[in-house]
Amino acid sequence: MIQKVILPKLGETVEVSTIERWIKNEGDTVAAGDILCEITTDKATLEVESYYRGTLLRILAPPGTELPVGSVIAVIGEKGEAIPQDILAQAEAAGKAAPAERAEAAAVAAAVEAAPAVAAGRLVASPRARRLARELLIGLEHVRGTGPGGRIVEADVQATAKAGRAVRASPLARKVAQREGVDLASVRGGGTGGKVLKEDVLRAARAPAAAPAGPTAKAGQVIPLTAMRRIVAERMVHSKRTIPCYYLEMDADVTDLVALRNELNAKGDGGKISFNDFVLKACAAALRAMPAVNSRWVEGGIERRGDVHIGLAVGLDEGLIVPVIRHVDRKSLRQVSAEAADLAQRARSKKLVPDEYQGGCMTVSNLGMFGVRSFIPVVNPGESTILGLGAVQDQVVFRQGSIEVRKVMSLALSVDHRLVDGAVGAQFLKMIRDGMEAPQRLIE
Amino acid sequence: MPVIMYREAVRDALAEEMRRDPRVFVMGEDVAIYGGAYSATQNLVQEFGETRVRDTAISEMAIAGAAVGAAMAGMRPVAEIMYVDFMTLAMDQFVNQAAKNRYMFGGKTTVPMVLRTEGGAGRCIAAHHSQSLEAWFVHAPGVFVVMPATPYDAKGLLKTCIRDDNPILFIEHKMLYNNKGEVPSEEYLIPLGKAAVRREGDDVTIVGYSRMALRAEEAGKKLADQGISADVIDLRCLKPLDIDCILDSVKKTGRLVLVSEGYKEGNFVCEVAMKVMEFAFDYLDAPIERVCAANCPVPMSPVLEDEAIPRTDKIIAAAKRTLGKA
Repeated sequence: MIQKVILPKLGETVEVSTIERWIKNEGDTVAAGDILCEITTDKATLEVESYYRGTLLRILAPPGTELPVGSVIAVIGEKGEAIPQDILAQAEAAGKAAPAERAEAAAVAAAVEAAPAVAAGRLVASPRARRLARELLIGLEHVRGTGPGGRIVEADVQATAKAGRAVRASPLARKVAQREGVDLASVRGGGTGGKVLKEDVLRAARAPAAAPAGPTAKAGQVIPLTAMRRIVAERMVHSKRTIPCYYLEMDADVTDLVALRNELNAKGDGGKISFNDFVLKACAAALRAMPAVNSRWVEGGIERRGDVHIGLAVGLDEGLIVPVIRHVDRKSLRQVSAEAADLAQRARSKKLVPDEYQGGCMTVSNLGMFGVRSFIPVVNPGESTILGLGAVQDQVVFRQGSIEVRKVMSLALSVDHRLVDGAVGAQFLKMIRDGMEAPQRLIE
Repeated sequence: MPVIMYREAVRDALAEEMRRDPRVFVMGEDVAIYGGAYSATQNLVQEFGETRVRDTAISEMAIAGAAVGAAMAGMRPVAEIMYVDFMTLAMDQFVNQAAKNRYMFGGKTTVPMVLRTEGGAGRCIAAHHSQSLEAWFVHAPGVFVVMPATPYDAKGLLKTCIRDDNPILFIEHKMLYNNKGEVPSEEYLIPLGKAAVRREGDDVTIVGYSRMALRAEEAGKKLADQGISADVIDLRCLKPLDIDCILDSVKKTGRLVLVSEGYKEGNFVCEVAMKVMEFAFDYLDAPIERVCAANCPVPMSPVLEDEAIPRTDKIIAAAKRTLGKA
């Protein structure tokens, strides 16, 4: 019996999705529950399961096609069964619509295959391969895996070693390359006859980070937009164009917060609590206390959100995504911490469902780990404010009549002036700051 | 060198040990007048008489129990349990009494007995007569488990078992009884706990025992035709296990296929796999594969029985999977 495989609506606001790649091929036997293909919507990659058992007779949507949800993307039936003409005709019409996306997806797929064996953020290598790599001082990230699922096996490490041995380098240069994570083959050697020396390796190590795995850009080459890049660009333009912002800056004395964090993490039960987790709790308390700030601009007026959901910005190689932790006010610090860590990890491996990156009331963004002292973040459309955190710095401060060295962090709050006026915004920021300076209350 | 059948090798071992040591005697169902269900005790009663070659009642519990008692009283019984499937009826006597008495009597007694039995599928005699239950006995401290695949190994190992002071389960295979092989006429013994390397290779290690050792060897031959060289190991003894032989091979090849006619779930080879993981984890280039019997009662239908137990082509497929050549 002919069964249509429909492009599912995997998210309340999802209108279209793009087929990324087919796991099952035409002619394959499928069982109910088998994964047929992977699709992307906005920024997340999702799997489409089969509801039916049979043979995958025809794939109607090749990788790269973007289709409205509800479209027929494949047909399952009995081997040899004829596929109704109307299904085929409809699919052909839809398929004609997107040649460009198809090309882009094919290019991306090719680039992904050429990349090292990083499956969902994990480097997959057999124990034997790892042992050999350790012995030969080869970084596994330089090795291309040819085992099942892209696993790195011994032969792959041997191949890399052979290629590496072809590079003339001093033993010290090899050791330094391994330590610094530099691919010897990419280093220009300054020694006699092009031999790679230690200083060549160190220079390469200090050079700006290589572009993420993918086709390297030549000067003047236009790289087509990924779905994520396009969305980030659209949102940023929308934000800057429609949201009248003002910006507040304040310094927070986080000496006690750092100490409390270290103390909690030293206890060692459960995952590590990060700085951001405390900030999330401080923001949640402030949002709860000031409903005027916990609001959004909608058609017809200002909507009071009521619930407290906060997004935590996660930087990815190809862009930015903000997973949202829901009901931060109701959760303990440890719960928030665990959830934030899990969402961040899944954000990096592009396994978030739309509900997990939508619906935030405010966003927290931390660039302190890059050494940024302070920055002015961009308000996320749909939210009222965004908090930018800078690096924690030891500073000399005048405190309670004497000079002390304290840990200070810059806070910058960007606020939508349609929703929140300056005084209110300032009070909000002060509340967050005060919360961070009395961190004991955040863990209750 | 003389070429004799597996069952003749068993019989010769029994006869030689009975001539050598008057304390050795044989008992079991149909072992005397009938000469054994599979002819492994043929003509023994004619040479040694009914006192030393004893037909018993159809009671595995009594056979095993009497052997325990006789052994503790100073004899060296070689008792037969006609089908390993019936060891269930002898379990308490073997696993609780024979296995533990030396320990629980503080060393004041030993139980030098051999329980000969046979198992395996291939004769379409269905679920109660075709099993491979060695996993149950490896799991009992105090007993040893020996499973020879060739006439040479059967004779040399059985003699060693009879001379050993421990209770030993000697599991033959019903499909091997008429297999022929070279067996020296001079006396020889094979020590317990030594595996035999049947083929040498570098790409993958295939380990089997009893009839599956022969299929493993067959697989090795066929793989060689396809350019894959396999180390093929016949364990011969499950307990004590020659783990060093296996580890040396895995450290060389990095890939392991384990073959057993026992049911897949809880199979003895899982123990082997775990030992390899414990001692050679960093040498594995691919996940360990096991080729075992299906988790279902052994079917009677010839077609289904053949499908239910490991076939050579399944062993070959497993070896190729370790090489990523599914």
